[in-house]
Order: sequence, then C-alpha cells, then structure tokens
Amino acid sequence: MALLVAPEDLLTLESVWTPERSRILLEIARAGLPYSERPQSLNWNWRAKAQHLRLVPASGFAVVCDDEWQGAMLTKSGTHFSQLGEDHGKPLVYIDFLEVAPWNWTIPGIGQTRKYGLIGPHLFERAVRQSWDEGFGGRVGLHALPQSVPFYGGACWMTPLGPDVDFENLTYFELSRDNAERILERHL
Amino acid sequence: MTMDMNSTSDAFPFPEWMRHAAEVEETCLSVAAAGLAAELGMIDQELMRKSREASEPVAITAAHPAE
Repeated sequence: MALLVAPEDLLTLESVWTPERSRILLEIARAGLPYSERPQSLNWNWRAKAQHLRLVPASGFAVVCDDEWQGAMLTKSGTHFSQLGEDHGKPLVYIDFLEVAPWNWTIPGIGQTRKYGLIGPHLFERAVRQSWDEGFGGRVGLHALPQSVPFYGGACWMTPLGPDVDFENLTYFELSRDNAERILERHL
Repeated sequence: MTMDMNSTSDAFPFPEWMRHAAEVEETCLSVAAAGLAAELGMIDQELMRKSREASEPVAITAAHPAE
C-alpha cells in the first residue's frame, strides 16, 4: 500500500509506532540496558507537537510493506543552502525527518533484529534523487542523532560539518554533488 | 510523493552502494535524521549526556586493552 506523507501524517505513523516503542522501552528497562545501547529517538512524541506539525512546510515519502509503515521521510526543498566548497550557497534538499519503524531497529541488548533492512538507504537515496530532479545536483543536508552519525558519514558518504548550536548540537551533514552522482550512478 | 517497497523498479540505481549502506544501517541503533525533532524541542539532552557518559569508558577500554 502506498501512502502520501505530510508532516501531520507523523501523527498517524505514531499511532502505529508508539505501541512498539513502548514494548521496546519495557524490554530495555527489564534488560537494564545502558543508555548508550538505547535508540536515541525512542522518546519522540509527535502527538505532543501536533499543532506545530501543521505549520511545517515539508513534503515526504514513505516506505510501505505488508500494509505497514516501514519508514518515513520529510524533506524541504530549496530552503537550505550548501556550506560545502565550490557549491557553497547553492540550494539543496534538506531532510527534516527520517526514521524507520521501531521493529526495523536492530537492538542487540534485547535480542531484537530488524524485520526489514534497506529502509534508511532507500529513503536517503530518494532524497538524493529528489535533489537531482529539482536541479540541486543531488545536494542533501540533514542533522543526525549521535547514533546516526556512522550511517550518514560512513554509509551515505556525507561530509560532517560539526555540531550545530541552533539544532541542539546535532552534527550537520551534507552530501556533495560528486558523491550524489556516485550514489545515483549518473556521470556527466 | 510516495514510494512502495513492492514497486522498486527504479529504486535501487546503485545496488553496490545500497548493499554497503544496508550493512552499516544494521550496525547503527538509529539512522534518524532529527532536524525537525530538534526544532520542536524533542531531543532528549539528558539521554544524550547519559549515552555519552556510558560509551566513554568503553571507548577508553577499547583503546587501551592491555590496561
């Protein structure tokens, strides 16, 4: 089943994901997992932010399989600008939100293996393609949770530009045009 | 725009990269992009701090296994 994703759709998503988050939280508590082994998005509560979500000017994408949301992403187009090298100041696609379903988290401490893989890469590649299609050369920017840093820096070939004090000191990453072309395999 | 995992004809343009990314994805506790969460005040700084504190001794142990 295919779903259209808008910021307020996070409320629908949460109604499905919250029971899973609660289950994981309970298992983590029972296992006494250290904080370093707990997913850092476990406490997100979009319902509490419903009023704000309606004002967020983003569009997005969902990965749906088995009639379940496996992951979702919100992007903003042309509202952020590159801080990288020769493309400095040029517009990019900013990934405002990307998350996979809680049952797709691998949490060794409670013996949970993901149900589906590839969701994160699939969504990220879609943002790169959106950027390419909109004439932004595949440039993408985002702020990553500390636990997500190896994924964006290592797997997605993004460049870390340091902690951003305006975004809770999360690391800001950008994908250059060159690396976007490598991901999309489009050589000019 | 929408995607469906069952219609992936153009969704995997670079299988090698995708395979590598999926492997890294599995080793991460999270792959979340959190700009919106940060803007809406949903980042739990206390959890971040405790997470950092909990992981630092492990890193020191790994760096000096003989000690």
